[in-house]
Amino acid sequence: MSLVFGNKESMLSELEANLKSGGIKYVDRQKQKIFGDYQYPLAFINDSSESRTYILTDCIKVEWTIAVVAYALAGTTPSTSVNSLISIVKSGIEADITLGGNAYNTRIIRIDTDEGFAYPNCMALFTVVISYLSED
Amino acid sequence: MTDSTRTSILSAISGVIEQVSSVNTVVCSNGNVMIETYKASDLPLVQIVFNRETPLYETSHHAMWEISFELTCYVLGGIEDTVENIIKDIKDAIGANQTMNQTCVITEIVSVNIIGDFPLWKLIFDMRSKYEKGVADA
Repeated sequence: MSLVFGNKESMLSELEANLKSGGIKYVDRQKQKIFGDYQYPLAFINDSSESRTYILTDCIKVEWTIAVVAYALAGTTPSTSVNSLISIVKSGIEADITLGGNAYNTRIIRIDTDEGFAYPNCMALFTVVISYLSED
Repeated sequence: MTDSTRTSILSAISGVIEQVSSVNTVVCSNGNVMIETYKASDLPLVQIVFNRETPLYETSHHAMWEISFELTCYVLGGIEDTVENIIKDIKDAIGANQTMNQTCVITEIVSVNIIGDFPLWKLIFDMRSKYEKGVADA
């Protein structure tokens, strides 16, 4: 019986592509800072932590936590803007929970917002857990 | 049936299961194997553990015993056709070799349970069999 083992770089690339097709105009997983004239809404993907459970010596069940930090322009209706931003990012993350067949589940476990402090932007931080199998 | 001992029965059962092409490893143990010490290529792995043993009758020279045992097959992957196929393969092997090389008679497959969590599943066959032995060996 063949199993699919996940590749982290592929998963991040898939997530990046899914967020873009969901409506995020700029996605970066290498740089984590807004500068220049990036287009909104934009999102940064941050690698966080891994929890590993050994099923066999060469089959490890990994729960990989990443943070997606998304920004939009708040405009005159910051609350509506942040809700719209959340909706776009959610649909992007949930578009393919296998991330190109690498993972067996992807779920958003928490969403935090800037609570108005990032004005004139609005910001939402998504804590996402990707479950996949690793050989090492 | 010939006069049998627990060891000869165990060896005969494992011999039959080893012939199942979809099973890669057979382990006879007195308890659960530490499955996390095995590799993916060792699976499907079958573990055979004897449970309760009860005398059915005894004469001056001979005794018949009922012995129950658990045959656990560890399978890696999605719970799909492959799992069902392994159950079928094991059932077929037992059905075709019910006397297990004359050491015992498999009288009943009491139950087959699938437990576990993705990606590791345990297919547990609860089995009963009878065997004979000279009283002197009891």
